[in-house]
Amino acid sequence: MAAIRIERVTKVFDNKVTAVDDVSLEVGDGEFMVLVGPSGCGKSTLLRVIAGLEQVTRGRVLIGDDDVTGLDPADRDVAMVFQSYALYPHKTVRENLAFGLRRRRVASDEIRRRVDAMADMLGLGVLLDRKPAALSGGQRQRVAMGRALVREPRTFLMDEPLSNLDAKLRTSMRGELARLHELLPTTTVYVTHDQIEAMTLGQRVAVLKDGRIQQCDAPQRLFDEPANLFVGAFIGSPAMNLVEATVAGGLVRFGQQEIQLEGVAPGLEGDVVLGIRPTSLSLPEPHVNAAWPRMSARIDIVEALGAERNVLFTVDAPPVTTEDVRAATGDAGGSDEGRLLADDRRARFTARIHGQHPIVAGDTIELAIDPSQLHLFERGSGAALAWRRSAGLERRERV
Amino acid sequence: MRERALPFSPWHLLLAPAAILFALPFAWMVLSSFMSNAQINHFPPTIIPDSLHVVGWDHVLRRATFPSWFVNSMIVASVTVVSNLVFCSLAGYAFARLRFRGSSLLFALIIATLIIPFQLTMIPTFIVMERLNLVDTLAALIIPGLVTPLGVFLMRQFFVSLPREVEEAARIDGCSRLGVLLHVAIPLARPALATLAALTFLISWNDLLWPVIAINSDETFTLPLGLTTFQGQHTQDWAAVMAGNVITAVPVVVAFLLAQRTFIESLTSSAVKG
Repeated sequence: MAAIRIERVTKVFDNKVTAVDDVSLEVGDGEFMVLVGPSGCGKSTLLRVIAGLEQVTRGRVLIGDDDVTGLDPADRDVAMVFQSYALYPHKTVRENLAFGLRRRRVASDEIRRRVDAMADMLGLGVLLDRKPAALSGGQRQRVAMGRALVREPRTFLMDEPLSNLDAKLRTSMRGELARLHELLPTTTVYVTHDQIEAMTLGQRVAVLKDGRIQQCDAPQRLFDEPANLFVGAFIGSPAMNLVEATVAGGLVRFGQQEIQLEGVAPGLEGDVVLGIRPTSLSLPEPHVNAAWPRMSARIDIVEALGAERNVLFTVDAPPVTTEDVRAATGDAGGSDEGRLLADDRRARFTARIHGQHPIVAGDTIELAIDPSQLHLFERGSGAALAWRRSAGLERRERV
Repeated sequence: MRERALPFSPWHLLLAPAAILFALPFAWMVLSSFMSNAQINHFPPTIIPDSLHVVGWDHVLRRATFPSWFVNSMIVASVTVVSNLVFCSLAGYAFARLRFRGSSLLFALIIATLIIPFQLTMIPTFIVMERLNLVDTLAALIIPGLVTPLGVFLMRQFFVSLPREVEEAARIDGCSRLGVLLHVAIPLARPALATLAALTFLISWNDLLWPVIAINSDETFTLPLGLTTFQGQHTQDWAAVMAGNVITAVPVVVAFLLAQRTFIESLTSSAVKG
């Protein structure tokens, strides 16, 4: 096991595309680090740089105390799980598992022992003599994991290992992966575009966009305190509601709505982007603080999910369509894609409420807004505004 | 389930006559080799002879140099096949996966040579062989065909189609470039290698034009060259020619059957992958 240190790494491809742009990142010994971001953000390239499958243009990569920047993948002692599994089609499961050990001249008794132990652990025993073509998707995935694990490398690199599985299998494999890391706490870098995977698996999550790390933090902090508009819009499902607003005299205004900002830092005035999580909007029920500001909403769509419902409604204020937001929502069904009528220039909001409430489309309801959970971002740069005098403290009291 | 009208696939109605059509010349060749020249030259031609003769076989097998022609052909074809498998794989893999200065230009040049007919290069090639003092040796037949542009192209196209991730997995598992080629790319390339082997064997085995130019002495002849000696300017020993043809054709049929098994294996295995 070993820590990974990436020092100011830049990767420019031959076609002048900068995939990774001056990235520095430290992954602790035994840490599970997730790289997440929309497609083309450079997360896979960064992983391949660590693996040695891509050479850096500038910067250094260290694994443990060794500078591995110029080393071949074979000499880095890393194991990688690919999205397509990349099993050797001409070799049996046993040979697939043993291949890396054999190349490293491990004694054949030892190879047999380790392959058998791994097959037991992953339930591959009966499949050992089959070729990959005769395995199901989930079985191939397990073999690919086994091939990486059996080597007992210093670090694991995983490139969207679950994305070829169907939804149910993916959920159960996600849990298995988390358990596996508890069992064998090897330093792991895991690439995904699926934020649920990122949030549930990562001890820390690095959010990337355009080859740069936007924020690297514990999953809950990413959700609670996004560093900028992109992270705010990217993390969380359903996505954060975003609307153009103005701040004046301790009030934030959008459309007809006014919300008193609790304990706002003095001097914060002007145009902002307001972000409200769907979970920060609730029905005004007895347990909800009576002092919370209210907004009325005419429901357009109700998505019943069983235990919960998403209610969608429009707000009479302009939506936020900056590049940050489009990039963040691009592959998750963005705010633009959710819009049926192109000339409807109003922001669309989602509120998540519990599943029992009898709401149908067309109803007008009142929603309470948790004022401590508001996010303000700068209009131009998209940087988060620390509008509270004691940022973060209030929030934790409530949790 | 609907009852099938025919006990076999309807395709067979088309394929069976085609197969007979293609097999007919071979059958006729074998039959003719057991006829006398009088029977062969008879008009209208007899397809099923009323009596069998071995005069053709007798002529061929009595010829002292015939076994050495067979051995010569075998040496030339085998060496050419092996060297093509080695060199075309190496070159094809390099063009498919390695990036080096001028690689696309070099590949384009190699492909461009495919359009130059052999008739244009045979005299320069002969001059080169003469300078090397190789004329009238088997080396003169082997060296020009050690690696062929068609083979390089074939192998390169196959390697390009291999999933890159499998090779990357092998590199991470501890293989060098050569290791990836030997342990992953070559084993996966078996169908392409079988095609290349069959093709090279066929071309080398059947070649007549170049041996006619490069070989003079009877004992260095290859089979196709030797067969021409049964056809004089004024006489045609058809029975001997046909017997010689049968002997010549057998290794080609065997080579094809060997390669065919790999073709079919590769077809069925890729079908299962899905």
